[in-house]
Amino acid sequence: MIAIAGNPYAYLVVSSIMFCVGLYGVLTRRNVIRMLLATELMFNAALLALLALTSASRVGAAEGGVLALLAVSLGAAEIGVVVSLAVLMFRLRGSLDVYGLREGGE
Amino acid sequence: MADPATTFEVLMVVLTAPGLILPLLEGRGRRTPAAVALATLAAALALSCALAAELTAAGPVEIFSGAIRLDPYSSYLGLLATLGALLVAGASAPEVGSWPTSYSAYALMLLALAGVHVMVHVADAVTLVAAWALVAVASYVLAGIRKDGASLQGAMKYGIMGAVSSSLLIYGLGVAVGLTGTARLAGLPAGVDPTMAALGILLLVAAFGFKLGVFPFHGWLPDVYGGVHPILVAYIAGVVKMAAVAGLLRVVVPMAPGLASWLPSLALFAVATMTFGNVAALVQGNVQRMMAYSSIAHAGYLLVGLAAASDPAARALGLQGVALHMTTYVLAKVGIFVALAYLVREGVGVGLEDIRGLGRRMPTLGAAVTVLMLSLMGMPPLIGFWSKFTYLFLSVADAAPWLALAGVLNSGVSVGYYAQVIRYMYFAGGPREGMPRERVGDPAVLVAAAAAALTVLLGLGPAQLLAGLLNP
Repeated sequence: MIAIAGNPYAYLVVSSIMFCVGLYGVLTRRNVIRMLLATELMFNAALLALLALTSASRVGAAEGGVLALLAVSLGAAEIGVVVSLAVLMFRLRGSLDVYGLREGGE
Repeated sequence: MADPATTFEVLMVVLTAPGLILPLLEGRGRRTPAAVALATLAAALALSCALAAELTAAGPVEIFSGAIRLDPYSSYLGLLATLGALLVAGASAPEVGSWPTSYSAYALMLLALAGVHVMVHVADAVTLVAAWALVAVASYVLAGIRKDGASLQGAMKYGIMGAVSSSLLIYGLGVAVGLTGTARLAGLPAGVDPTMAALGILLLVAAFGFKLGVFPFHGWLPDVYGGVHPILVAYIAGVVKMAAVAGLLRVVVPMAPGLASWLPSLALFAVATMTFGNVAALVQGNVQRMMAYSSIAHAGYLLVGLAAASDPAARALGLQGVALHMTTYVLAKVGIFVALAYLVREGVGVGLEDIRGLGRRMPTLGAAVTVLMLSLMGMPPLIGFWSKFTYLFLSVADAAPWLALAGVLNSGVSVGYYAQVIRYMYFAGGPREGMPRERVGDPAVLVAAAAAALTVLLGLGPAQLLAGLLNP
């Protein structure tokens, strides 16, 4: 990580591209699993930016690492909840289309 | 008097221990979870009051090596969230008790409240992420706990948008920690790159804006507030929303002083949010969805107060306005959604046509909802008038008069739909055949009446006294 100290910009470029691809995916897909994949891409882009920026500042490097580890657990908890909702939804409706839930009947 | 740090630690234990133990007691009767939750929340309310009193006397205290900073302003927000939670839990007993998931529902309410209490006092990015995870994940599960189509739709969108907002939060914290070199959330040091600072602030405002329902990040809100069972919406609107406001106050506002782009960018979000919320609410034919859009409009009003935070002269007034307006908002939304939950339980429904003539059959409930709507509208002498006009809008009157004007115009537009509800309840003809009479002793009716009574009482004078004590 020391090699990137002072020049995190290459990482930031990669991370912003990943973030935008993820955002595009969330906005255009209807299938829950595809949307989740896209949010995961955004989440990892954010982690990459976090680690690149904090290791560049040297002082915050340790805190950045701790923050990233906690953030991974936050991401895992969110994905766990959404996947269990997706399972429930598939049992109820037989489809994974987020926008089609209510039209399916009450 | 006890030490504020001890009181806070006891409060955390009081909220989390029953929250963790409740699901293990499953199968011990219908009344157990509501009784445990009510007892816990009553104790938590007493502790929150004690904490607020101790901090007002002793001044701010830092605990856990500075990861949590207790101060009177934040302890008031925590007290407010606890009051909202107690009101919702009190009203929900006859409703939620019959659900198979009631034990988990009450456990999640308590855990989410514990997260809110950490959020309002947070002073460190790492603690922030932990508290955020607790509140956010608990609220997605709470939204979907009924497991029917509308709840699942709401919970699913809430969860996915929440994951997007968490990514924005991590990104923003990365920029902030990279700039300051520390995980402490204490504002930006002098001489940081203004572009990077603005980028970090934008990412963080977007992250918390997702949770608050700020336009254009509001996409999930009408589905959750409009589709999920109203008693759960009362909790999500009255308690969970405090976490988003706390996030803005504790993480983003400290970076505001001296930042030239702060006021125009927040003002832009504020105007877009309140205009969208109010205009969209005008065309709703369902009171629950109307209240969902009104929540978006109120997020816009809160942003007006936050926009004043970069101006040293207006900062105090704006932030006092945010705390006071949260009081208005929590009381009104909890009361109204609890009343809607009662109407659903009685089989009346929540459409405008369904509530025609409600004021005659259910005088107490009708009067309470009317008072709360008038408070949201900003009618004197209710608390909504003081919080909205004399604090939020007045705070920006010097720095950005056009923003204050936009706020006042928006309040005018909002009268259109609040008055519509009142018109249907009282002046649009008699009730339809078979509309039940209210049972005044029902917890939901009592809670709606209590919220309305507090709205009136606080408006008759204590609002300004209260604001004087809240020095951010």
